[in-house]
Order: sequence, then C-alpha cells, then structure tokens
Amino acid sequence: MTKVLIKNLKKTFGSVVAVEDLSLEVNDKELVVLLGPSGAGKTTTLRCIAGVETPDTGEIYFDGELVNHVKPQDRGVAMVFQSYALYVNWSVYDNIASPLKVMKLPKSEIDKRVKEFAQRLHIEHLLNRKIWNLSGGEQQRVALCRALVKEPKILLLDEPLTNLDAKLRAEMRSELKRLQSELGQTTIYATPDCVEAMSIADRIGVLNKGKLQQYDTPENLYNRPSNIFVADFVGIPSMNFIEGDLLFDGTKIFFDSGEFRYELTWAYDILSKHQTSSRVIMGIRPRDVKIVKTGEVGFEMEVYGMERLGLENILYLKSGNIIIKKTVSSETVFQTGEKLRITFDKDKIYIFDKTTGKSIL
Amino acid sequence: MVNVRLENATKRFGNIIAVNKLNLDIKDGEFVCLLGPSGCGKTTTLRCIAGLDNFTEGNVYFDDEVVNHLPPQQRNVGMVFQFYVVYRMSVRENLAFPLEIKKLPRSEIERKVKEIAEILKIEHLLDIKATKLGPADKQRVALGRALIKEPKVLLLDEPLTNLDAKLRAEMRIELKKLHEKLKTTTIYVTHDQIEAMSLGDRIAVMNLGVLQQYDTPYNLYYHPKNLFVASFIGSPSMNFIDCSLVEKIDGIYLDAGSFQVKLMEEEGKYIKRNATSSELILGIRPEHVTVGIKPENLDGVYKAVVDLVENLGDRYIIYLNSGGHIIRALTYEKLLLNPGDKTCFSFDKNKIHVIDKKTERVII
Repeated sequence: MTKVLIKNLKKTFGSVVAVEDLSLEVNDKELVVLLGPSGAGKTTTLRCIAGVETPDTGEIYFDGELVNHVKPQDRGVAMVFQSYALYVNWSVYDNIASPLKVMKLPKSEIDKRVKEFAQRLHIEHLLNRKIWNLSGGEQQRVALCRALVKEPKILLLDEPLTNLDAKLRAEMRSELKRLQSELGQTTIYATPDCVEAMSIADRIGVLNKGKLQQYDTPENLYNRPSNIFVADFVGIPSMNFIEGDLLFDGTKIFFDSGEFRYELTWAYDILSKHQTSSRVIMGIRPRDVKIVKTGEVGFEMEVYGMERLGLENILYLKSGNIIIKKTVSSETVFQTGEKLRITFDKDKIYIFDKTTGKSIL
Repeated sequence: MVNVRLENATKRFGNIIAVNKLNLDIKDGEFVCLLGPSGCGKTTTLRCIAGLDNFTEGNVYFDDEVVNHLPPQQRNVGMVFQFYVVYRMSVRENLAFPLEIKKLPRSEIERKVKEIAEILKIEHLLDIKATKLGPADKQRVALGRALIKEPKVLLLDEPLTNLDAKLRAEMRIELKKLHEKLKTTTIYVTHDQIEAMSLGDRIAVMNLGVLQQYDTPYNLYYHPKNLFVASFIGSPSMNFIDCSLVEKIDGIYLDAGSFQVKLMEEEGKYIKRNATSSELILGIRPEHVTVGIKPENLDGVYKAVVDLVENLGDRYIIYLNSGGHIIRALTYEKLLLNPGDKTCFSFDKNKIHVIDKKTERVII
C-alpha cells in the first residue's frame, strides 16, 4: 500500500488545459475522491497517475519515489473504468485471472487469489458465467475484482458506479467503502456525483476546469466551502445564492439584496475588512431558511412551487427575481401563491466575494 | 388536450412480454410518471401511446376514441427524448419547423415561436444555432418544438437523464412550472424516483412489464402496496429485515432473531389473519430508525454495533449491525460514532411496515 504525492501537475491537450498546477497528497490507506463536473480534469489526473498519460510538467511520487518515467504496467496501479472494459466472451474466472496470467504467477496461486477475491466481492457463484449474461451490477463487481486481484499499490476508479441505477449505486457505494477500508487499499476515485463523493471519501479534491478548488474532508467542504463553486457543487438540494451589497453605517452592517435587508453586525470585524469590494453573494442552505410568524423579524416571500420528495418537501419561494429553496418536512404542505415570512439561521450564512468567488464569511 | 386511457394493453416481442395487461387512466391535464428500472416496459408503453409502435393486444384511448391504428402524426402527440434532438439550424428555425410542415401562415408561425420561446425563457437564443447550445438549452429547444404544435399529449422519455445533477434539479422545477401554466396532459418516463416523486401528480410504478401501483407520490412513499414499490421509492431506501410472527403470553411479536418488536394487539391480530405464513419482512425507512436511547422510551430499544457511517453533508447514514441484520438509520445530527462502536436503536413504531414474504404484499 502506498502514499501518493502529486506536485504541480499540468497537462494540456493542444490549447486546452486539462489539469493546471495540481498538487495533492493521498495518504496510505486513504480513499480520496476527485469531484467535479465533466471537463474538470478528474479523468486526466487519474490517467497521469496510472501512467497512460504523460504530464507536461509536474511530478508524481509513490512512497517518495518519482514515478514519472515508470511504465504503466510497472507502477502497480489498477484502474476501473465506467465502461468496465471486460472481455465479454470470456468467463468471469478468466477475466479476473487475466492480470495474474500477465504477471506470470503460478497456476495454483492464480486459482487461490481469484477465488479469494471473488468471495470478497460476492461473485463466487458467477465464476463460470460469461460476462455478457451478467447484470450491470455484477459486471461492475467483476471489473472491481479484476482490479483488486492484482493487489495493486493504488486503485484508481473512474466513475465506476455511473452506469448503475440509483438503488444499486447506493448499495455498491457502501459496499465499496467497506471493502476499501477492510483491505486498507489506497484509492483515488473520480466522480461528478457529490452524494457519492461525500458518502465514501476520507477527503475530497473538488476540481473545476482543471483547477483544484478545495481539498478537504466531506464535512469541511459542506460546512466551510472555500469558494462559491464548492458551495454550489456540494450539497443537495444546492445552496441558495442571493446577490447584493454590504452596507456599512459605522456601527452596523447589513446585507442588502434590493428586495430585503439582513443585519450581519455580529460579523462586523470580518466583513468590514472586505469593504473594498462591497458587491457580494450571500449563501444559505435550504435547510437553514426558517419560517417566522407575522410580526417577527423577517421578510415576505411567495410560494412559487413545491416538490414532494417523500423524505421531505422542497419549497420554492419567490420575491422579485429572487427564488429561494427551503426544505420542509413531508407533512408540511403549502399552496402556490401563499405568502410566508422567512429569515435565515444566522450561524449558517455564507458571504462570498462577487468578483473572486472566494468565501468571506 | 385529452385524457388517455390504456385498456389491457399488452406488448409482446417474440416470447418476451414487455408490457402485461396494463390498465391506466390519465386525466386531462394530469402529469403522470411511468417509473421503473430498465426493462420494466415504461418506454415501450410510451412508444405505443405515441404510435411509434403498437400494443399487441388491448386499446389506447384518447378521450373516447380508440387510436390504436392511427399513425403518429395523426395522434397529435409531442415527444421529447433523452438525447436532445435539435437540428443544425437556428433555435427560431428549430421551433418553427413543426409548424412549417403544417403549412401555417408565416405571421402565425412567428407569433407562436415568440410565445413558446418566452415561456421556455429562450427568447435571447432565437438566432443562435441550436447545436451550439449547452445541454439544458438544447433540451428546452426540443421541448419547445414538441409544445409548439399544441399537442394533445406531451410524452417525455427520460428528458433530464443526460444533464448533470444540478441542472437536473433546476430543470425539474422548470418543467413543473411549465406544466402548471400549460396544463398539457403529460406522460413522463423515468427510472429516477426523485424525479418522478417531484413531478408526478400520480406515478405508475412498473416492474417486468407489470403495473405495481398507480398512486400519488405521498401514498407510494407512505403506503406502498408491495415489496417492490417499498424498495424502489425512497432514498436511502427502506430497510427490510426477515422476521417471523411469534405469539407469547404478553402479546404478539415480530421476531428478527437479534431483536423482537412487540406489536399492538389489534395490529398483531390483523397481521396474523392476513399473512399466508409466519414468514414476514419488517420494513422501516432509515429516517424512522433512531440511534441511541431516547429517555422517554426504553421499551423497544435494541443493541447493535456500528458498521459504517456515511456523511452526506447535512445528514448521516449510520449502518448498524444487529446480529447480522444491517439496518440503515438516517440522522441529521452528528453522532460521535465510529465503526465498531456499540450502540442501540429503536423504531418509530407507527412507521413500521409488515410484508408477507411469500406474496411480497404489504400487510400493514
């Protein structure tokens, strides 16, 4: 098992910069997720670590050893793709055994390992079946088994659950996490799905347009996003954003959206430092929007729509051109057009700089 | 606009029955979702309603008229697919195309294009080549082209599947508002239960060609009729624990081996009367499992070991191991629990479902 260090990695394809100045450290036995929309550079980064792509600049170290010039097959890396890349006419057994045959292991050792890992992944009963008559979930297990059987130093997973349906994806997610911690397998996992990332990762590297936005624990990404991209990308339903200005009057400070004002005097010290760019974006998660009674401090919004999701309902509230999402319990029902008074949980308010997108509060 | 009715609709492909005796009544102006895993027959059903294919047996009615043998263009349906079909011309031309085929006067076409573009908020894109648009706008154009014909029925086949999660959530509420405004009878195919829950006035849950339940989102979530619906609706999905019905001196219990749940007398008797055997499944949603002891309720608290904790940001899924049963609990507070820790759990007893293991029917 291995520690991975990536230093100032850069990779371009013609004029397109796929990965820019990426530095990342993955600890031994850690599961790190690279999270981002398509085009973020997740797959390119994985491919550079695997050695199938050569970085323009930057270094990659496994346990302190520079591997830039080590061939892919000598790096001890296994990779699983979204499309599985299995030999569909071969049996499950032969698929799993194939990397071991390449390694020229003795037949008895191959047999032992194939069976051991097939058991771990609950596919012992499928060993004689052909790939083409397996379900998507079973194929995924075979692909994973074929990667793990090599006992790789590093396991690279490129959107391995994307082709499964929602229910199976949730099941495989927890199974994968359990297996990874059982084996103590250093793993780097790329996905565009923030729930998947949050639920399995020890740490997450959020990428956008080739640049690392934040590298942190799931909890910190959710509670202390370093910029507006991370705040927007992490969390479902996503954070509400309202554009406005910070107004100072000597002793007090307000956020002013045009539609409403919200006092932020308690954060005077932090906010007053950012007086230079007063145009800001306020962020508040749907869970932290509160309904208050008439007469209490707050502002009026109109119910614009409601989604019933079973576990909870999402209320869409409108005032002028601002639309805010608020989660409510599944028993709470509002009619379109109803007027509500709302306020925000003051500890849960974020303020971002409009120009740089960086988090101020 | 019409109401759509399927009567004993069956579709065979050789030996395979893709849709089996489907009866479905979709009211005028209603938004109905066909929901199920791949291979459940939802897309086949939609294609047969559109006239792109025909049911082997049974009838499709638009209002009181049987449309079985009408070709697609005479059925006047609008259809949007998973893959955005837009033509390599401007958005304006894309939208005008279906009307030009109908040979509508130019001024009429212009008026309608403007109107639909406004509704879909793509007025500013009218002169841009549709193939150059982002995925969400392409889908808006495809939707506009389907709607501009003022179809009797709008048929949507997984129209949001190719968008990323964030856009999908945004387009969902947009579609909902659009339907509120236009009130076109809409049939929407999806495998995503969140999408179906959020959009549908009613949802038809299908599996292996057979309708499982046709009901409101609320009823599907809180009153599923069978094991399939209970397991398909809801994320994280419901816990299912094998158990048996046992009568003791002090009452009737569900016995799961590692724990026993005491039932209210009436409930116990009802289950006993309605179960085909003593083999049952206890179903409970993760949000109705409480981890730790609530001081007011020491009855029905069971021991478990923490197996795994999933952090979803504002909520946590705790996997508990109770004598080999893995039970998922959803909490909104951060509990200081790690894998291997001993803890305990209880159920919200009003929220327990009991399912007959043989028939897979929900008893309560």
